[in-house]
Amino acid sequence: MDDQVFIYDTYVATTRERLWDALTNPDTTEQFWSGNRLISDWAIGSPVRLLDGDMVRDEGEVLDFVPCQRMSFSWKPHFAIEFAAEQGTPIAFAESEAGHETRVGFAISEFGPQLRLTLTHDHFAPDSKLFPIISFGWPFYMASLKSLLESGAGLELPAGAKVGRGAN
Amino acid sequence: MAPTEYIYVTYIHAGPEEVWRALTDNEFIKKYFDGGGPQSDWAVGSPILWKMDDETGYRDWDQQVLEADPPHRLVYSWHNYQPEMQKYFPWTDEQLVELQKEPRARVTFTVEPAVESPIRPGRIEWTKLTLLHDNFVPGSEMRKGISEGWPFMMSKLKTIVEEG
Repeated sequence: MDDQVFIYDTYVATTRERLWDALTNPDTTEQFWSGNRLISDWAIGSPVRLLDGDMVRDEGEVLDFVPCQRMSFSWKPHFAIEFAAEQGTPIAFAESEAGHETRVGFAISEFGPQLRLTLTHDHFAPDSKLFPIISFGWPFYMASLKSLLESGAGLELPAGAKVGRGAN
Repeated sequence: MAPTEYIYVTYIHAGPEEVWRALTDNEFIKKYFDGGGPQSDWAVGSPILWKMDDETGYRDWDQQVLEADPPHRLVYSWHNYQPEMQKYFPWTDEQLVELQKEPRARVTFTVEPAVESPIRPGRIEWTKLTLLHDNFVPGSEMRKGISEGWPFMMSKLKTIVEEG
């Protein structure tokens, strides 16, 4: 299927500044993003890297950045390819997809006394096999982010823990 | 996601029983449904009354519990388009009659253990909640409406369960 777009809204009881910091401060991203640090200087065109220790899990470039409002970056999800292999269901990715850049965007808007964080992930290659993988991953990290900001408990996967895949 | 369905997945820092209670405790439901939402005894075959807002109050819009398997799976039938909804949507009476010919949608909640305690085996620390709302026609007005509503309800449900 072409033109696949993943959109996920999360409502969070916090401030714009705390939510923005959670997305752009590597010390915070590692608390909700399974220990991964999101690194960038956030200037347009600068590299964005998701690091697990020294390993680059995913990478891209800053496309748009308006502090406390919205950002977007291109995204080569190397990790999703490894993830499929780790889960015992290696996926035959098309050559075009291995180097393909998808796009990730975050936008914050007000909704009553809370904030709505809208995640949009699009620009997938035609017939992308990545889409179901990211559709599984994002709700997990967004739920973890919300819990971290509201109650201080990010979703951590203990070593060897299994995650239910359910309807995905 | 197919154009005939809507899916929302979240993870809640609580056990499956607490999440099940959030789905089937009538007082709890009101907390994340803005004071309204469904009310039922949640037995299979039982009717569900639905409150859209204070002005309309609880109505029998022919909704029923289709499956209830605590604390794993809850399925119920959705309501049809109602004249009381016209104050929120620009439907004429003629359009409403046409919309009411669409098949009735259905809601399925699936509750699954996600992360087990590393210290206390068998104790579930995080639970996965999957909402599947399906049986829409492509381009359905009802699907547009519920797509706006569910992320808010599910976010609030998660917050309240986690607050304990």
